[in-house]
Amino acid sequence: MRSALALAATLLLAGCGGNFQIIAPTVREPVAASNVLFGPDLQPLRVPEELEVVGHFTRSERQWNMFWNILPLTPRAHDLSDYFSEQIRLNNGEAITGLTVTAHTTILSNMLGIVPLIPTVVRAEVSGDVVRRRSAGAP
Amino acid sequence: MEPTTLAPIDAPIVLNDNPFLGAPGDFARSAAGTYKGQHSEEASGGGYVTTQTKTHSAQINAAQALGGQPDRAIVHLNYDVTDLYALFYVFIGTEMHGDVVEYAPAAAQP
Repeated sequence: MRSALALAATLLLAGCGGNFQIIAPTVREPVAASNVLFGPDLQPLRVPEELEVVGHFTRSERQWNMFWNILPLTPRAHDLSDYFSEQIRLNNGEAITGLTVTAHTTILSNMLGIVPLIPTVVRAEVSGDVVRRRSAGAP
Repeated sequence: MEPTTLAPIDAPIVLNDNPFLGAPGDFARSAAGTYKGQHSEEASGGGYVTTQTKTHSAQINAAQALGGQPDRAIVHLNYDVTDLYALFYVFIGTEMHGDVVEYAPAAAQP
């Protein structure tokens, strides 16, 4: 009985959840969290003055873990380089600006994750604008 | 959680190594420090109460790291998303890391 109570208390107080990284080290075009880039002569190119928005994207990223976050079921580093390059290409753009990350908590998943064999998920939404110079690519 | 945005910062903050649009001129790049910022929310009471604390050092620290200098940028930015839960405590946050670099005309370098 005492062991069962101790186990129950441990499970109730146990922490779970997880973490992951969002990176894009190999994309060729600029991918910016701000709305400013450098021009060739280091002059600022701003949205919307010098840069026009030609597309917008939103993507959901999920990280699955087990055993209280000890065992990642997917790689913790989420490299979005290829995805960003694809968005730029699809929208005929030159860069990405205004990249925004919104983390979401998943209380139900975390509560179930107290049981180590049940996988837990961490979520984040990644959004941004595809831009190009106002003079570039104009018909 | 509210979106973590660095949009108001008036300088390039990029995830890769390239803050230039178009082929850049002849510039030398030097390291000028590192950047770290956080945007997080915490709650206690099993997650049933509203947010109790909120910090958003992401924009403040970026502005400080850039120091208002028009020749600075933050490169190699990465986001670390964390979601933690225990019975009486919930934490959700985004931490950002990057390198601060400074550009100068190559001829001006020693």
